[in-house]
Amino acid sequence: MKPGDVLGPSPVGSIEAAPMRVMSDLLRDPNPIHLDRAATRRLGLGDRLVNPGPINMGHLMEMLGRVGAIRRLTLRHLGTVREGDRLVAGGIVRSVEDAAGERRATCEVWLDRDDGERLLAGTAVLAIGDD
Amino acid sequence: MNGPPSPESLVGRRLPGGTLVIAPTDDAALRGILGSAAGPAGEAHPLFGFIGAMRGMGIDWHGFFALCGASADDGPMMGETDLDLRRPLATGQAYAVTATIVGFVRKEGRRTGPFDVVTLQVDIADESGPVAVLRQSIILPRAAR
Repeated sequence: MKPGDVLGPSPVGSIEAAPMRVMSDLLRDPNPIHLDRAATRRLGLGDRLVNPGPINMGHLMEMLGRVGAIRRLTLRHLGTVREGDRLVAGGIVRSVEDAAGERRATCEVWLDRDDGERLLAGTAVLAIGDD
Repeated sequence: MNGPPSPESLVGRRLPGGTLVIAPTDDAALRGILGSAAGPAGEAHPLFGFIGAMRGMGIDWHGFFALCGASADDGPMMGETDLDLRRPLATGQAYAVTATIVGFVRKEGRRTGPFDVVTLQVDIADESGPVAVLRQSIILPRAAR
């Protein structure tokens, strides 16, 4: 792995309601915008459920986990993901160095909707192999 | 509601915190919704560095917003996530979770109007020290001051 290497693009299938309920349970956070379309309408958020932010991070982590072990992930949350959206995770290696006794890659990373809107953007540090 | 508290009164404030145990069934449920392969035996998915922090900080979002003089109706948003995964989290192990408000910055956008950025630090630790450290900023829109 070397600077300039591209990560992904890694497509994520259509965002569905059932995983939102699982994430709400895992977070112990029964926020109705993830669970109840009537609530999203009532709050002026449209007819589709809002995907919990950690699921979006999780999809990006899945792509990164296929490259190396995540040591640090810094992300800005730029947009809202809704039921039915299709996402694409991607990234590019910016540097490779030895640190803390292992080979590490620092990568610019992102999660986009398939219409091109950027939803997450940031930096990941991954522990990678030597080759 | 009495309006937003002063930064001085919030920065340094400890939240209740608590104990985190990631059940193997929780890990399987998360991997199921992400389409993730099973990790090494006993190792939890790295996203539990975030989920565990939220679960273990000892206060729900409504309580946190109230502490900051805000509510969910104000339209709070996630700002920046900085997740430092120092060692893998394990399923079935008890971790101590401590949470502190470490930042509170007042800002004003030309289009957005006034808002505050509150930053939380949540440490998930075992007897050897922090395993995962999360810094999470939350954007709290404010009515015109």
